[in-house]
Amino acid sequence: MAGSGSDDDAFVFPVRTHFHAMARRPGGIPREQAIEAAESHLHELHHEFKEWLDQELAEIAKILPQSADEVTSDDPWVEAAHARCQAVRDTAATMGFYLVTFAANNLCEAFDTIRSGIEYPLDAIDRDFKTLLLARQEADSADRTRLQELIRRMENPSAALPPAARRTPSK
Amino acid sequence: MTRENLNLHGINFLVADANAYFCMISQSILRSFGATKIYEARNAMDVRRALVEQRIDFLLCDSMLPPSGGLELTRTIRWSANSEYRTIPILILTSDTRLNTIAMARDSGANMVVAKPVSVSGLYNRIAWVAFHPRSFVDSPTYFGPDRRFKIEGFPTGVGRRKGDKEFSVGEEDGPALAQDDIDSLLNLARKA
Repeated sequence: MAGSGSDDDAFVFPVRTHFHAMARRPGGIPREQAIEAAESHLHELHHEFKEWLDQELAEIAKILPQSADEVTSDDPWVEAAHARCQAVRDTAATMGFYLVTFAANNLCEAFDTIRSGIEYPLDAIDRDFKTLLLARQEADSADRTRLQELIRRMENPSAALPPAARRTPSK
Repeated sequence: MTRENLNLHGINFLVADANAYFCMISQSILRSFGATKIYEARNAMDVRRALVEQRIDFLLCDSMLPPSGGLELTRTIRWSANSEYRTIPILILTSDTRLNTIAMARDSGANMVVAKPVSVSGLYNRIAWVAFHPRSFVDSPTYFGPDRRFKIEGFPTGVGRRKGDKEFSVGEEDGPALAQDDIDSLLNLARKA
């Protein structure tokens, strides 16, 4: 590898690996075609994904404690639950299960709060987990439009209320 | 602007993630992109074994890879002075998108950091970026890895650019280049800010 030093301490040199040589060969699959094929392939894996998701949710249910007032970062189960929720969130998003992603992300944020040292009520975690279970059920039946509507409502719950019930900020 | 295709046929990928299901999804995506040889690793020991037993061309590694994390593994690979893998393209996947973590991933010597959840198009664009925009490597007492002085201004060959994105050009050098120590101290200051 030919190189040129930019100063006495750092040496800067070009790198062309086997990957670069191979990936730039003529041929290959056009970008749009490759992405479409991948998305279509992921769609075929939806059934397997739901099975995996059910296993993960069962594991999370086992990890969460049955009773406690407050959860703190010292609780040993927090890290394990956080890791599983992250895996659910990340995988569901890649697979296109947006409501599951949204619900799992709420739990991840709750665990992030706990990990940062703030006490958190177990009730709130329990509620978020139940939301995740509901989101899982919706994944079986809801069509995409219905899911998007549900996500919109969860992100902005007041929008679902009749106008008279919405609280307006006092001046 | 021409759009070059990635040709991943025959390239040896190694996907390192403790989550077996995520590895399987990554495999599916890579195969749809045209990759034919994909290996999996669940931890750093598996990665080391694969690097010895196979000729790996590209490493996709989760930042939380057991036991010490993907960043530590990346650092180890980059600092193995006699290893043929010292300059292997490494793409770090991370669920932790805090600025500090991204900065640490970059400083470990990763070619690219990708935030999870990974989208299909996002993964394609990152691999294309590494393939078509290879960066020089910097070898200094404090860092070994791709030159960190770069900025993504749209993806290679126009892919991923938005309508409003402006063309960019790199100006002529008009002064002495910063020494690696200076870059390190600037990065440290930015990190502390």
